[in-house]
Amino acid sequence: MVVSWTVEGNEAELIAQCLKNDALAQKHMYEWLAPRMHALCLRYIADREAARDVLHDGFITLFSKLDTYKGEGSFEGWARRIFITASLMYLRKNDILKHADQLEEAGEQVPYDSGIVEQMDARMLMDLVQEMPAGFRTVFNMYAVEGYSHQEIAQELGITEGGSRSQLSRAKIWLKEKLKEYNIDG
Amino acid sequence: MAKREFDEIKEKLYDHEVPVDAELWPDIQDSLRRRRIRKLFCRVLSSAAVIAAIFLAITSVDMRKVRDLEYFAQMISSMPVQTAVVESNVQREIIPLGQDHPQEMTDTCEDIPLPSRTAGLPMQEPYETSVKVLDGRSDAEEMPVAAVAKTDAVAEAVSVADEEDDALSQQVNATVGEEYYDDWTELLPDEKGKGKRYAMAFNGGLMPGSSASVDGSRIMAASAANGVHHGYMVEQVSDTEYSLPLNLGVQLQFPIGEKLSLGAGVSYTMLRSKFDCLVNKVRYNGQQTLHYIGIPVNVYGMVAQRENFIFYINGGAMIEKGLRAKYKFSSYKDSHCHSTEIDGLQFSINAGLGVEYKFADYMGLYFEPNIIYFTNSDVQYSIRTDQPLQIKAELGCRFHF
Repeated sequence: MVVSWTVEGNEAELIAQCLKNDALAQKHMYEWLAPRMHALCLRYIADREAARDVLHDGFITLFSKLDTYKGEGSFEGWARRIFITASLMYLRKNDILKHADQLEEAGEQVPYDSGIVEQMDARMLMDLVQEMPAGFRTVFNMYAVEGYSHQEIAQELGITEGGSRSQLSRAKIWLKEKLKEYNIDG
Repeated sequence: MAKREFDEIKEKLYDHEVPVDAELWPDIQDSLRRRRIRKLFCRVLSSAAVIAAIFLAITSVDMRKVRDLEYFAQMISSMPVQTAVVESNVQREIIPLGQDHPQEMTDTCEDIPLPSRTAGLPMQEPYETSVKVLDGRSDAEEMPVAAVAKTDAVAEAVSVADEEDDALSQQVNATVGEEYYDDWTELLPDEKGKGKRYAMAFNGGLMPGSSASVDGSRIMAASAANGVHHGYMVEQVSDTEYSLPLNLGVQLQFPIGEKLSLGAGVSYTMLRSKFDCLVNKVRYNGQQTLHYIGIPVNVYGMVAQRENFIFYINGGAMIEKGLRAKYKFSSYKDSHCHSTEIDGLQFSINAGLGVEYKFADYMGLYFEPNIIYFTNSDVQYSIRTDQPLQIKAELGCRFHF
């Protein structure tokens, strides 16, 4: 039987086929999600090889736990959480978050051109985020990109809400400095 | 940093895509397959463990002991009233009437008939006879119950009664020995292994098949060629040459009726097919090998037993899961191997007859021809697709216990 899926509007059927371990459906789901989830992993883990391993493990978890998706909320949102959890697990396992807490204070608040972000494309922003120290980066990604609250971040990372706010504040200062550099260079 | 800038960052990064290297998906597929195989093995092992546990639970009930007890109860009830042979040790106790004594003693006393020999004894005051069963002792296997009294005359009478009891015991033993013991032995397994009703069978079988088709070759060649290169086009194919399907298994059998037994176990089957094909103007020799693991459940009914031969009929069903489909594809210039998963389950029903030669009371060799019908043979193209009705010749060794 030849099956072709258009993911939009046919998500439920694709999930149903994946639950039956249909190899073709699993490949379609992979092709649909992999580029976005790869970008997600790279935002949390700067090392490309490690990000690839996390992406691999994330897909194994996704296909294994697909039966736990009850159709509440968007499927992509559910999938994103799996990859975020996988990334955080990697960071925890390698003590990257622990070391991040000991990073020196970020510099003073610096003036920069507030319109610079608009001028940057996604790839440039991605490079910038990847340069960010791991602790800042994790909180920044969770708060600014994924939309987690400080309470949720604190729960996920095992830190206090104040700690989360502090990390985000440092990330902002760090980012402003970098944007200023970019502005000067540009 | 303003909220607007955060939103800008989110908008640009949330849906950002980064291409993935081409090798990742095969790696994920491989991991998923290994995970599924592990899961399947765990399930098969769990099923086997459950079957083994049930089997052990059934066999742990010693049927011989149950039968012995039943026989003993029968023997007791059929004995003359004057004698009571108690299997355990018996101790006589004299307890004055009216004195408190344990309830079980009174009960025991009521249950055992008093011998008539107490009649006429000089009794100064009435006494009860009590019997106490001592489980720990082994020096007195049989002891008659006699009436007792407190006075010397009674003691003397008891002595006389004891002598009479000895004679009576001998009489009882003689009775038991002559009249009942023969029956008892009939209930025990005889030398030829009568009574051994549980069995473990190790078997191997071949399913002779002669079918051949071009359709099968075309499908298998396409699968094989696709695994080598997605752009390969199969131009021509030969008929398929099927090797004899090979089957190996182990089965536990336990009785479910006088002449019926139920068998369940684990079975492995290998199906091999060969074909030739022309791909991109190059002639290739192709081979497909399928591996299946299944759980057979059969009912066996004994038809007759003549000396060392047992004749029986059987019928049952089997559910199988394909483990792997392996393809070998070779030509004069190159050779490729790859494997894929086999989706779905294979069901089959079977019926047949068998003969077993018991060359020892615990062991026999058997031959079991069966007719098998595969109900959903199109799960994976094989000899079962071309020929869903097959004959299986099974040989095996059966251990009885």
